[in-house]
Amino acid sequence: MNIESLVQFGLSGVTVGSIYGLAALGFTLVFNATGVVNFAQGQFVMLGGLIATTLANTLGWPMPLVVVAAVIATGVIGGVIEILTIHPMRGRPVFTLIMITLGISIVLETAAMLIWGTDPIFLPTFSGENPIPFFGATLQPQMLWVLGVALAAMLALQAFYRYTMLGQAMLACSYNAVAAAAVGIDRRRIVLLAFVFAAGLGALGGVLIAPITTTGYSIGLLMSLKGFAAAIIGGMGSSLGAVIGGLALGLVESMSTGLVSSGYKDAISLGILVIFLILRPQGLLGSK
Amino acid sequence: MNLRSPRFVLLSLAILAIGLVPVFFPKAFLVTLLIFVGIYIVVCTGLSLIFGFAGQLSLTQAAFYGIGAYASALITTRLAMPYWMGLTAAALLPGVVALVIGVPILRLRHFYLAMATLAFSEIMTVMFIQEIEITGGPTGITHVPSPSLFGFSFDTPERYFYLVWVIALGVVLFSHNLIESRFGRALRAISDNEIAAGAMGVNVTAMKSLMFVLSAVFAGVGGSLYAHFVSFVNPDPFAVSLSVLLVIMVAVGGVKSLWGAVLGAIFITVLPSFLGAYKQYSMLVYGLILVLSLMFMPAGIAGVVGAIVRRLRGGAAAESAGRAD
Repeated sequence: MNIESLVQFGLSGVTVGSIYGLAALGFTLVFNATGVVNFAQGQFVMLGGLIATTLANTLGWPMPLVVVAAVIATGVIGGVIEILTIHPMRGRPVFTLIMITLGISIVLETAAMLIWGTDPIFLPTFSGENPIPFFGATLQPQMLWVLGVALAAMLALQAFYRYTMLGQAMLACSYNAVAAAAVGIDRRRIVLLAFVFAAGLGALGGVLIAPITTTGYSIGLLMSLKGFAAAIIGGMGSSLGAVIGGLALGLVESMSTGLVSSGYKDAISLGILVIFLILRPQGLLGSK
Repeated sequence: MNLRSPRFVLLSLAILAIGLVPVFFPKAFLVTLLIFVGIYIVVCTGLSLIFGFAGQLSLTQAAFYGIGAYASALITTRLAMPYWMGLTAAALLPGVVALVIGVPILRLRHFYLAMATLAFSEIMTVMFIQEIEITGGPTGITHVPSPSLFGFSFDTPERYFYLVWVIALGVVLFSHNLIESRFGRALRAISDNEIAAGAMGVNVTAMKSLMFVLSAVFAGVGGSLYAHFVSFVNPDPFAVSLSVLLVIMVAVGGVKSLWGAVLGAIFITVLPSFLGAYKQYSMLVYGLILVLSLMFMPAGIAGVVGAIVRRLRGGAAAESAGRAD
């Protein structure tokens, strides 16, 4: 592989990796608030992208509005799911809750298939398609959007944790739910918020990547696995770990496309997930 | 099982009723449907052993089902060997794979195991599609022959029906005896509390491995039955969604009961025929059923049936007690 293609694969790896990072952040939020791994996380990525295609292609809304509306709509769906299924089942074994998220994942996927059909759908790029030369490789403008917006979202989440009362309460819950309740934090609100944010972050990733990869009803389950892989590689529960894990996974996938074949990239990244689970379940950043 | 017990009589009647279907309804859609029910009973019974009784959520049964289907199809087509060798390979190969991957991944717990097995299922799907020289890629393997055993050819759906159901019955009875034995009690102990079971002298790792291997063997046999019935094999049916669907069958039927796996397999397989024109909604319905049954009937269909039977019996007992007064 020459240097130009190395740069090229690196660029697409970081782009896709940011989306995995956003999905992994969603896993982390829900995991920290409830101890549940949400199998439906990848479906939020799918929903965000598909809702955006309807708003942009059918209704002709301007792109900035499309992004915001798709993220909010998916966030609301995440919240409704929490209210209807997770909240009534609080106190049940975590295992039961995980199975429920698996069921929700199937419901969302099939509902999306019935609404949007089985063909892949395009979303227009945010700003033109003239490639920008970059160290002998070409950089699509959409890649810059992905990286910029994903970075902004991650920073905003950190700021929320650090500077708002609610964010502090969320952090407190993830460290010690009992102690958090003892100082008067309303765990009910925290869990609901975690689902809304997780759905919104997933949806943001789905909208950002749709102009590059197209989107469709069936991407969710694989996206759940990749997001979970990113969270595990980085270290389950850590926000920074989720981002690093996502980028690492994206790069590995992209490089294996270049070095092996694109057909095997999913098998390679999921193989890495299995290896991490067996040999280093605490992830790159975790200590145990 | 007591030969005069009502359970045994009911079971015998059910078997007789199913066995007579091809006689009274030859060439009917019902025969094909029941062949699939039988295949899924074989696979779900295996899943019930590892998921229901050992309490380990395996989301990779479709991979074993696929390995079994491909093994059986390759041996009877490309190697032109007899059917019984294909069936044997379909049982053994997934078993060996389960033994090899089971050693490291069965140490994982909860969702870590679920995700690892789900990942393995997806990896195998990629292999089925990509390893074109072995699997034939997306087009797969065609002209898988009808099975014949001891010179008897199972070349009509009616004949095939009996092959499937005899195997299904064998698998269910074998598993029933297994879980009613010492093994079964050890298994339930693991599912309740792994650490406590280990402390009581149960070899937790060996038990989990054994159940995982058995679940893979049954899934492989199911795959072989599938391949020789539809006569071709391609990667589509062995996707991750089947792994999820199989878990739904067992969870909806009832996790802590072998009959739950059987009922779940019947219910989920038969449901689309009742949806008629709304067949495309079937996955939606499955997902909703899974969520609702976990929320409102955690013991599954088998649990509900059990509760009804107990209430009827309790009612009868109370009545006779009332008369005695």
